[in-house]
Amino acid sequence: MMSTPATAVEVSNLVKTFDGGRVRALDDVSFSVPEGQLLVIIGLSGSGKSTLLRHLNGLHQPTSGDVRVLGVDVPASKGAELRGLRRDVGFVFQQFNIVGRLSCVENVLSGALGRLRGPRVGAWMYPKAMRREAIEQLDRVGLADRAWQRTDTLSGGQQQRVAIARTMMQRPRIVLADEPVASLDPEISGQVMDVLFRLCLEDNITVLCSLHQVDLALGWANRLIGLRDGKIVLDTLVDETTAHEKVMDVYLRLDPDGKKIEEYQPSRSARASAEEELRRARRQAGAFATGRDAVETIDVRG
Amino acid sequence: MTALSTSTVRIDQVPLHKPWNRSRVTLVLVAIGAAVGSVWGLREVDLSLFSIIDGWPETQNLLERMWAPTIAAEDRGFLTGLVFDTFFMAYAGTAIGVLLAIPLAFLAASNVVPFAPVRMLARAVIVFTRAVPTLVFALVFVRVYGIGVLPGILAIGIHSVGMIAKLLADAIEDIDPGPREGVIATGAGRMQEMVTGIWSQIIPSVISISLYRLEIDFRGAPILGFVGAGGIGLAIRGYQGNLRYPELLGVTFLIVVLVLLMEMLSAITRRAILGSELGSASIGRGSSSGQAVLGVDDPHSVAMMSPATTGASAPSGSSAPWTRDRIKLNVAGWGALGLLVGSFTIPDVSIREFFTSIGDMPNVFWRLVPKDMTWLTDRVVNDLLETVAIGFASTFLALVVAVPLSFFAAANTAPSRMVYRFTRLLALLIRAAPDLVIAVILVAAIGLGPAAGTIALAFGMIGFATKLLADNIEEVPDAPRDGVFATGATRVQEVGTGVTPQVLPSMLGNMLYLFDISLRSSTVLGIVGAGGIGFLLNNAAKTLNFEVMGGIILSIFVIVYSIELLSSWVRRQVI
Repeated sequence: MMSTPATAVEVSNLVKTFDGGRVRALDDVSFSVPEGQLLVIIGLSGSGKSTLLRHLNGLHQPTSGDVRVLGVDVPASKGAELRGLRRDVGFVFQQFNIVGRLSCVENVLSGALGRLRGPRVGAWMYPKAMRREAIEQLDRVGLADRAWQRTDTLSGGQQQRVAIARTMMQRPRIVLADEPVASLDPEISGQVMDVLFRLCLEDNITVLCSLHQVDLALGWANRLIGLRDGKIVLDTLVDETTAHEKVMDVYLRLDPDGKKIEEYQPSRSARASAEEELRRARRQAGAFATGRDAVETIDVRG
Repeated sequence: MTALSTSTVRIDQVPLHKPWNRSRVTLVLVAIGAAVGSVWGLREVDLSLFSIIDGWPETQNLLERMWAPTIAAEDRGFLTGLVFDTFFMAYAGTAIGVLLAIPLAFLAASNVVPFAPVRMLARAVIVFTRAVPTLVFALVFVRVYGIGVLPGILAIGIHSVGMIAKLLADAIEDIDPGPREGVIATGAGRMQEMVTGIWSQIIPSVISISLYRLEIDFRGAPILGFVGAGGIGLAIRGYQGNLRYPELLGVTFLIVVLVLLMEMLSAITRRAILGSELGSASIGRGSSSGQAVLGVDDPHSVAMMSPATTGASAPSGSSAPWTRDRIKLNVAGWGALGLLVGSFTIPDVSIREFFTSIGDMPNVFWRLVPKDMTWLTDRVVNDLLETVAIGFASTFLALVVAVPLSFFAAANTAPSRMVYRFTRLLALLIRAAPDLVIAVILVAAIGLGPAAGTIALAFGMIGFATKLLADNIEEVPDAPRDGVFATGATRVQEVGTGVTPQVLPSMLGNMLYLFDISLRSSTVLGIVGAGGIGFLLNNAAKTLNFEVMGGIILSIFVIVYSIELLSSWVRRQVI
């Protein structure tokens, strides 16, 4: 069954458990997102926000339930089809996940890999038109003057802006942003959110962004979804009248006396196991990195 | 528009090409240099695909004569003796290397010796002993002390000193000054300050460096017999001389198995010792046995540090409790000491002769110093160039195979677990065959000359290079790859963009290191007739022409050291 084109994301009865069912990261989650919506998902760490987002581009497989993104049955797709979907769905990471040794342009260019065949190592291996396009994307995030600078010489906020430019380079229809400002200070956070949402509005891109700062969420979202313990506990459209208190309630109900936080420890470990599973699934080679002895890393001249 | 428009340049002013900076220029120059060197090297050693194809019938013929590898029944006892000799020769050599390296390292550390000339002298000794291959030292010592295990021990010991002392001096310079100041503040003397403030901090380094060196020496020891320095190499030389090829191949396999066994043994030891308390730098109980592991059998120094160190963990008057780790370390320590004693009794090395030989060392080195320049003939210059050519050509050939292979041998880029396991095993097996032994076989197959040496060296290096480069790849952080992956890139694209740029500096460093190694190895290939300066060196040794030997050794040193300086400069530029 095809979803109607107006629906960007459709999730129904999504359940995800880790560690053989002991940890329930997502518990019967259903919602749908029309194209062009700016949706922010809020909740404490470990409430399942990341896990949810990672189901939408196939980084996770659901335990049960349906996930449809842009009409594609995500859990059922693999190989070229899944890569095609990932091209249409940009992902912005909390830790930026850029290649620090490369220049900003080269990082942005890697967003165009999906449009090319074969590996690319340096900027010279991309067509000139793409290089121009990449510089334009950098200009949109205000970093054209840093184009050829090594990315790891930039500040955290600037690095995240490079990552956003890379995502835009994909020409995505949906952007998933997983706590994009969690490792930045508040002032910079506002700037980065500003860039992200402005570009998505300009290009008419659907956004699903997880956050834990309610103020930032209210400033940018059309719609808010609150997650708690893997369940949706809040789903509301946002306008000027949306009360801060109502949203804060999601948090307050969790923690009136500061004690219940402790109960969320298992969910926190759910995040850890989720990340682990991601790695495992992602590399068929699996988590078998060899433990080397410390001394072998010494630069030994025999 | 917004606060974000910090960009001050117009977009059409941004260049579409990556601007040239220092490190990029260096990188391109290195690439050009490597390409030119490789082409020159391959031409110089006269190696082409045709020569390999032309030589194939003879190679096949030889392989047929070699098959099947055997260990002659009447030689079994003799070979067993040689195997033990090899083992103890390597062990005793490393132990001596460690013993000599410790004081040298202290003298070379800037935070111990403030007087620069002393430090420079110590550094010079380190650099020299490191640059001259063990086999070259063995060649000299065999002429002075006669055929046997003793020159082998001395050669391994002297060459090991350089590497151990360098790493140790680095470790000493890296220590935390706090504890040392603490010791000084108690009014301790200079020696107490050294032992309690510094020595106690570097023990884990001493142990791990020694074990690492021991591994290297176990690999190197089987070939020392080629020049008469004892061990299993003597058998290879004998079989080669008598054209007993099946036996030659048999001993080659024996050496491969031995090297693999040593590798396993040392991995187990390493895990047992460094996995215990010493790894976490708990000094108190580890110290005394830690010393014994190194074969430091000087009871005085052990006694000296005991009060300071055990006192920290136990109430006054009582000794430290016998924990599991302490027992383990003591077993290892006494075992190490026992092996050292065994090293001198089982191969029957006279202790008296050993100490005389150590005392005689300055005299030997003085005899090697050339008093004029008559040793520098055209032939020497020519052969030195050939040595460099072999180094270039063999490194190039090895890397052509090893670089792609390393991506299959790295856990995080291998297409599957099976491929990863297989490639690692392959690298391990290739590594286990000493290149000089391969050279012996190849010389028999395709004749004397640098082509045989180049192929042998390249083949031997593939294993080591694959391992080293794969280790580099495995150290690459995952997060940037995830970022590339999420854009919808294929696996190959992800490795190209997410892994390659990250691994480039460390890989480049190791490639230069591999060139360094192959250059050193190519200096000794001539001993078995496989090209390079080794031939003249061997001739000079046979005719007891010490000054010519010294001159050649000096030029080897100059070449190897200048390459090392060059590569460390490149590394600094690129990282």
